[in-house]
Amino acid sequence: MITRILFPVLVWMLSFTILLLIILLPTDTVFTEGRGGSFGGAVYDYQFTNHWANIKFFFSYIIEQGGLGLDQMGNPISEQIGTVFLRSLKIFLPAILIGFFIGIAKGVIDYRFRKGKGRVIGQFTTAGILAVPDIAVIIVIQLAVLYLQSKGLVDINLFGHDQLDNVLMNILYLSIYPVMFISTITFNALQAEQGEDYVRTARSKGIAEMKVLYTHMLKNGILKIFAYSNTMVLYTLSNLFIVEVFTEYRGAAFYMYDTLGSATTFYVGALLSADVIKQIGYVFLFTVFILVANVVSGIARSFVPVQGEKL
Amino acid sequence: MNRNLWLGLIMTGILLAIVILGPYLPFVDPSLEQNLLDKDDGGGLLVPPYAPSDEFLIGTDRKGVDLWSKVMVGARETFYILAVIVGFRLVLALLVSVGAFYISGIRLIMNIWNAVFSFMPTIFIILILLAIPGVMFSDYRAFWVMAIISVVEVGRLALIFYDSLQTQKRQTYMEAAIASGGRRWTLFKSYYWPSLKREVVSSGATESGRAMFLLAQLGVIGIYINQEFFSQLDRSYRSVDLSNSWPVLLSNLRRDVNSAEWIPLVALFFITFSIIGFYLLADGLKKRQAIKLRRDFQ
Repeated sequence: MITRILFPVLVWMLSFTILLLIILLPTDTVFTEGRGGSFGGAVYDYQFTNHWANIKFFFSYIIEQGGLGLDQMGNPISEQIGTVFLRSLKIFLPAILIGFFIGIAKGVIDYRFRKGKGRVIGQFTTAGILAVPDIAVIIVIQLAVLYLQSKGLVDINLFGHDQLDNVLMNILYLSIYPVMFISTITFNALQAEQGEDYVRTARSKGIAEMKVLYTHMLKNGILKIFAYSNTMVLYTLSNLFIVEVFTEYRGAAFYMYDTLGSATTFYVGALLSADVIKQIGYVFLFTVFILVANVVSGIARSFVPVQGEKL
Repeated sequence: MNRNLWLGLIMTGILLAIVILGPYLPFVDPSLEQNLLDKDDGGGLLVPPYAPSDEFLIGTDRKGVDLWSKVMVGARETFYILAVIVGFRLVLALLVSVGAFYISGIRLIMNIWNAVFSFMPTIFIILILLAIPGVMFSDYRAFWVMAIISVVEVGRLALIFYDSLQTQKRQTYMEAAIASGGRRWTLFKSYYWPSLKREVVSSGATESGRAMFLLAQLGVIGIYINQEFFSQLDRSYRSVDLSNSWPVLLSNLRRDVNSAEWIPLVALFFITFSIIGFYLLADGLKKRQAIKLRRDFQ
C-alpha cells in the first residue's frame, strides 16, 4: 500500500523536474530583421550556462518571494492561479462525477441489453461516440443550439465563463467522453464476471436480474473501473484544454495555453514573454491533480490481483 | 463474417483512392483557384466564403477556394503527415519494446519514460515542447513537430508491444521450443516476431486513428505542421498555415461556427470518417487474429 503511494510520488517528482527543465530553457534567439523591421529569420542559440542561470534564478526567486510572487499588476500570482484552477474544477469535477455515475449506469444497461436490438443503441453508440473526435460532438451540439436560437426556442450563451450557461454547457461537453469511456470499462468488467459461480448461485436463488447485476457483479467489478480512472482523468484533461480554449472559458487550461502562446505569436526582437512563473504554477497544479488520480487508481489496482488470487 | 474488417477496409480503401487519385477526381480543380469576388443574381457583389451551391458543391473556404477540391487535393498531405507520425512511432516502439524484452536496462528506461509521460496530457507536453524557440524557428520545424507528436506516445505503444511479447513468452509451446534447443534468434524469428507482427499491424491502424484525433485537436488550437510567420497589424508575427491538410480547415472554428458552418462540418466529416475507418479496421484485424488463433489451437 505504501509503495502504491510512494512510487507515484517519486515518478511525479521526476516528471515535474523534467517539465521544469524544459520550461526553464533559455530563450536566447537571435532575430534577423528584414526591411523596415520585418521578420527575416531567427536562430536559436542554446547555452548551458544560461539554462543553469535560469534554474538558479527560479529557485532563488521562489525562496525570496516565499511563493510565486507578484505579477506586473502587483497581484499575487498564486492567488490568480488558484482562482482560475477552481473555475476549471467547477466544470472538471462534475464532468468526472457524471462520467462515473452515468457511465456505470449506462454500462450496466448496455450489458443487460447486450443481445438483440438493444445492442444497436447500447454498445454501438458507445463505441461510435468514443471514435468521434470530441470537437466534432461539440460543434454539432453548438450548431444545434444556434439553430434552435435562430428559431427563438432557446437562449443559451455559448462562449465565455461567467454565466451559468457556460458552466453547464462545458460540463456537458466534457462529460461525454468520461461517460462513454466508463461505460465501456463497466461493460467489459461485467463481461469478465459473467460465468463466475457466485453469479450462477445468485441467479439460481431467484434474485432479480438487475439486482444480481448491481449488487453482486458490479461490486466485484467496481475496482477494475477505478483502476482505469487515471486514464480517464488524463483524457478528460486533454479535452478540458480543447473545450476551454475553444469556448473561451477562462479556466486554468485556457490561461496555461495563454502563457504558452509564444508558439504561435511573437514580436521581432522579443519573444512574447511566456510568463514562465505562471506556467510552472499551472504545470504544478495539473500534475498534482494527475498524481491524485494515479494514486487512487493505483490503490484500486492493488486490490484487484488479490481478489484474483483468492479465486 | 468479420463485418468490421470489411467496413474498415472499404473506408480506408476510399481514403486511399482519394489520396492517389485526389487531383484527378471529378469536380476537382487541382489549381485551387481563389474566387475572391462573385456576383449574385441581382448583380450585387458577394465575398467568400460561399455557401454550398451548384458552382461550389460543398461551399468554399474563406479565400473562395472550392472546398471539395481543397479536401481532395489536401488528402495527400494529410495522410503523408499521418504516415510519417505513425511510421516513426511504430518503428521506435518496436525497437524499444524488443530491446526492453531482452535487456533489463532498456526495460527500466521504458517504464520510467512511460511513467513520466503519464503525468501530462499529450497535448500539454506537445505544446510545451513546441514553444521551445529552438523548435519554433528551426528550419526543419515540420520534422520536429511530427517527431514530437510521434515520440510523446512511443512509451505507451512500446508497452503494448512488450505485453504482447510477454504473453507470447507464457504460452506453453514456447517451453517446447526452448527445450528443443531453439536459439535466441530462431525463437525471435519464428515465434515472437509472427505474433508481434500481428500486433504491429492492428496497432498501426489504431495509432493512425489516434494521431488523426490529435491533429484535429491541434488544428483547433492553432498548431499546424507546416507554418510560416506572417506580420500582423500590431507588428507582431502570427503563424499561418499554408498547407491544404484537413486539420487546417478547423483553424477559424470560432468564427466559422457562426457564419460559415459548412467549413468545419466538411473538415470534421472527413476527419471523423477516417478515424472511424481506422478504428473499424483495427477492430476487425484484432477479431481476425482471435479467430485465427483459436483455429490454430484446434
